[in-house]
Amino acid sequence: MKTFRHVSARSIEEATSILRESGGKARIIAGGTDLLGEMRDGILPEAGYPEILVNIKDIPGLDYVREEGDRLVVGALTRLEDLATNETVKSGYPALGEAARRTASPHIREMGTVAGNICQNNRCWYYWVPNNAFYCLRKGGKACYALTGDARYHSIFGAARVGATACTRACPNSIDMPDYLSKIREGDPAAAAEILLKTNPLPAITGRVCPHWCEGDCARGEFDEPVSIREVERFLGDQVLNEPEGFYEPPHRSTGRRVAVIGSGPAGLSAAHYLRQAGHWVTVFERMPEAGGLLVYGIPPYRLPRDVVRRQIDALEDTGIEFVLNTEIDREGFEELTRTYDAVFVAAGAWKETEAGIAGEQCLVPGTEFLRRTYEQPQDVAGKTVGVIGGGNTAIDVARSLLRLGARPVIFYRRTKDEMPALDEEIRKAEEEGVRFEFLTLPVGAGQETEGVELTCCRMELGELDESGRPRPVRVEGSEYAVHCDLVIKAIVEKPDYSFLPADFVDGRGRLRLDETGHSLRRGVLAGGDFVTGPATVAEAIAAGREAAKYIEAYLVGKARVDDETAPVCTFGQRFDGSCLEPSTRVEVPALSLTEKLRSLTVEETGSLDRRAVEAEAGRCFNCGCVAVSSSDLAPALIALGAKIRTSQRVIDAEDFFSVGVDTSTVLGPGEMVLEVEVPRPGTDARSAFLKFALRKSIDFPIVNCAAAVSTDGGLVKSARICLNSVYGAPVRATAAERYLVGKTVDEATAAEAADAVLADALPLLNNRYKIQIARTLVKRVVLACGPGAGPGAG
Amino acid sequence: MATQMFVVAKTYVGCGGSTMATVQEKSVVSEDTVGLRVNGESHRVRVEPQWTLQYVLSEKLGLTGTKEFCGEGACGACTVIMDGRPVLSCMTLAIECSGKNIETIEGIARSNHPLIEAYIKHSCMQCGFCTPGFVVTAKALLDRKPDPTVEEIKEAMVGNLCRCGTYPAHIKAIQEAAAVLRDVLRGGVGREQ
Ligand SMILES: Cc1cc2nc3c(=O)[nH]c(=O)nc-3n(C[C@H](O)[C@H](O)[C@H](O)COP(=O)(O)OP(=O)(O)OC[C@H]3O[C@@H](n4cnc5c(N)ncnc54)[C@H](O)[C@@H]3O)c2cc1C
Ligand code: SF4
Ligand code: SF4
Ligand code: FES
Ligand code: FES
Repeated sequence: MKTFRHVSARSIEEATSILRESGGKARIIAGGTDLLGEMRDGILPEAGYPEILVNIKDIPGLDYVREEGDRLVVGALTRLEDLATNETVKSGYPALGEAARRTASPHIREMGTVAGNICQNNRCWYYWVPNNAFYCLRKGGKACYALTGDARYHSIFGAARVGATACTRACPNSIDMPDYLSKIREGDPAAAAEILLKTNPLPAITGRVCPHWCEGDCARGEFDEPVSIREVERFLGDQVLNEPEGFYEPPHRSTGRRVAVIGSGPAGLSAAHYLRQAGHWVTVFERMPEAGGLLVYGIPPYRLPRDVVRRQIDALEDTGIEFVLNTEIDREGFEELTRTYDAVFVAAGAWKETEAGIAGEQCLVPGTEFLRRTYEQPQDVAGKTVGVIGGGNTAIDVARSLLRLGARPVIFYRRTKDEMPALDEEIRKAEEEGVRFEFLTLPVGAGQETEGVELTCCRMELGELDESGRPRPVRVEGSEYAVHCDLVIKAIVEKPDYSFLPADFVDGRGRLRLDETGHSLRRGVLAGGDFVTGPATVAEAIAAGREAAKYIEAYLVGKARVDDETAPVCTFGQRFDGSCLEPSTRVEVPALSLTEKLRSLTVEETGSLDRRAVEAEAGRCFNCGCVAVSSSDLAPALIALGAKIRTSQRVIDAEDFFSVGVDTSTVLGPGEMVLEVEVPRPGTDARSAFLKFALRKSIDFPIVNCAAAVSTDGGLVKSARICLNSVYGAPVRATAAERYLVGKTVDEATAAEAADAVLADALPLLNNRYKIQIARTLVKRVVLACGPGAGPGAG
Repeated sequence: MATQMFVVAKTYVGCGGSTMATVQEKSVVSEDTVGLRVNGESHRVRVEPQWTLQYVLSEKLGLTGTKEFCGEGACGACTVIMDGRPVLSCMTLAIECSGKNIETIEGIARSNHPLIEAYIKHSCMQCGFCTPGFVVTAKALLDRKPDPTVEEIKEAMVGNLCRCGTYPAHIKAIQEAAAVLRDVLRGGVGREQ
């Protein structure tokens, strides 16, 4: 067990103040049977271990069971065994007495306390396996193993969201995929699009070009194939561009503030959108004749049709964003913008060519220039051999464009395929299409010839790892050789151009001087996107733009930046349809054939999914959540008996006491402690009962347990309270069955009917459908046990 | 920040310790030396907070009869009697046991409790690993209920697991030991021939 500080509190005040002041680092230890189990086996994620244990067993006056007036009061430190053997409890509150008697084993009952029992951590045997063998979702991992594995100690009423899902965590824009996919399943794509647009204003674009980290991390990938999240995004993105009304609207109010954005790439567009939506006037300055930055002049049109970009820009323009094109901002212009606008956002991208360090470099064509020219006026390179130097996405885009222009591209890269910084998917496509690769090859010299370029190359081998963690390429002595190319394009790293910024914005080593937030150059002057990070991705640029917009907004309205994107934690009742747990494959994305692809630079290589396909994909989402169960035996009895939990701060209905969380199963706040449980004395016409189904009678958590309290009048049910546990992350009260029973006599038929009502909306996992049958039987029996046929104090 | 909140004092609790620090209002005491009364003898042991009682008994006090098997509260092998209750020493922090009266299998054996003889007579063990836990649990039962019914015996022993499947023998042994004890209490000789 990891060590911790141990403190024995001698009063309630002492205990609660330590808990409060520890900032969540302290936990109560009562009997310790639950907490130590968790701590001994090394199952918690690193951050989850308590640093301080506050022992409350020495606090006097918390260990009692007695009737006070018309209620039973039980002190928090009462041992379960004392509750189980208490005569008043056994006769007057049979459901509670029986629940205590059936909890765990005699030894655990001698140690375990009433408060500890209702505060115990939720059960899941994947979670509780020693040494984190299953680093599951609830611990911050990717997948829930119970969804498709053995699930006897798991929910049959759906999952509870505990923290952000793996897909959301992987996304630079923290898009809530399960949420919008649920909306699609519910047949409401508009609501889905709205969720998407909250953190990504350009879904039609990212839906085409994003490297989809979300899919890489999708939990479904561990089961069969990840959900095709990007294709769904593309579909929604196209929908909103087809009918922008309601999605891209001018803001309802105007602040009268003006913001200048330099650069109309994704970072600039994203900032412009969010600032405009906040009611500011936004002007975007662009030096090129078309807005879009790399979306237009970098990413080739077969991957991202220009028409999509144009319609996207139009939609943004229609919200009132002003675009000023063909306008290069120089140093003077920049100074003027900072004077005349309330805020400036610099998102001018990374366009500057860097030196490849090759002798005779002037006869090489820069890759970005090639791509730009290709868009404006394609070159005639048909039939020509074109060398492409580099291993990044630009190199691949250049090579694949060349193929479509009829050329024969050869990529020279100094390491091997494994080290190429380009996306795997892109590399694979380039290979399929016939791009030739010369790996472990470094061009060292270039010489202009009358017809083309002679490139001198050197063979390389991989050496030690360098700072980037990749093996360093080392020259093989004497391996130089010459290759003839008609044209050579260098597609190596591009850099941002800071020459238009005031000198004091850049440090001695040519780096931007940003403040500690990493966004501001000066009050009201911010920068973001590739301009700050160097070449990255559209999604990251969007994130930077949105983040900058928040800082600018805060600056303009003079308030602290608000973070509205914190991951959803512990939302209750995030349900999913169990049918998604059956194995399935991703829907196929329509794509051109190889020959069709190579025929054109501008025809998009893949098609969009139709609505049916999108719904099928949305239906494959697990809506990832935790399906561990609350398995306290006391909990359902307390809820059925209408008990209240008295804490150091308030009195909570037992029914409201339980909640699903990462390391918690109750609604207790920091520094709050359970002091007492109060149970109203059942009327003379009332009976209560508790039943538990476990694999072993000796010592086991319930597979299902159930308690009921029924009062009757002249043989007819006046009121009933029924509660199941071990079937969901929190106890489940069976209100449908309770309603059904009112006014009826309790007999075989009505009890069976009530049981059916409880289980009608069960959502079992792949391997625990049988729990429904067990639960149904328990409900029926427990109701019967409260009926007239059963003896007094039935149990 | 959290750890500065309260004052920690080294203190000996339970067996006439030397320094009991009482500090200001918010005085909370963290012991790192505990006084344990085990089988009637007092021990002072320096313990780390995460040490279990089972660990301290067997590794620090040499009382190796208390076994740890599952280490997660599920088998009863590590049972000791603490202030009259049969509890699991693998799920008990030693640091919380100061001043407690603890009985282990060694104490029960030394007192020549009739359970020992009955267990031998009825061959209640095969590999024997679980046996100390069974005997200690049974002793706690007989302390409370000198004349348990078979049902009561089963109920009390249900948290002790035996991989070798010796269960039926225990019931006979416990009944027999109970009878001997009752004889002793009645002032009889109490020893079987
Ligand atoms: C082998 C085994 C089998 C089990 N089988 C069952 C079973 O069948 N049914 C069942 O219901 N349970 C079962 N349990 C769980 C056991 O009942 C509980 O662990 C026990 O009741 C918890 O009580 P405790 O005092 O030991 O809790 P602890 O471990 O001391 O505490 C449990 C949790 O509650 C918190 N806590 C304790 N007291 C308070 C308080 N006053 N205010 C706020 N928070 C508090 C602690 O911080 C901790 O998070 C089993 C446990 C084991 C080890
Ligand atoms: S049910 Fe919860 S605790 Fe268990 S594996 Fe799934 S996420 Fe983890
Ligand atoms: S299954 Fe759904 S919620 Fe889970 S990671 Fe994949 S997309 Fe996200
Ligand atoms: S070792 Fe302590 S209960 Fe199993
Ligand atoms: S005798 Fe071997 S485990 Fe019980």
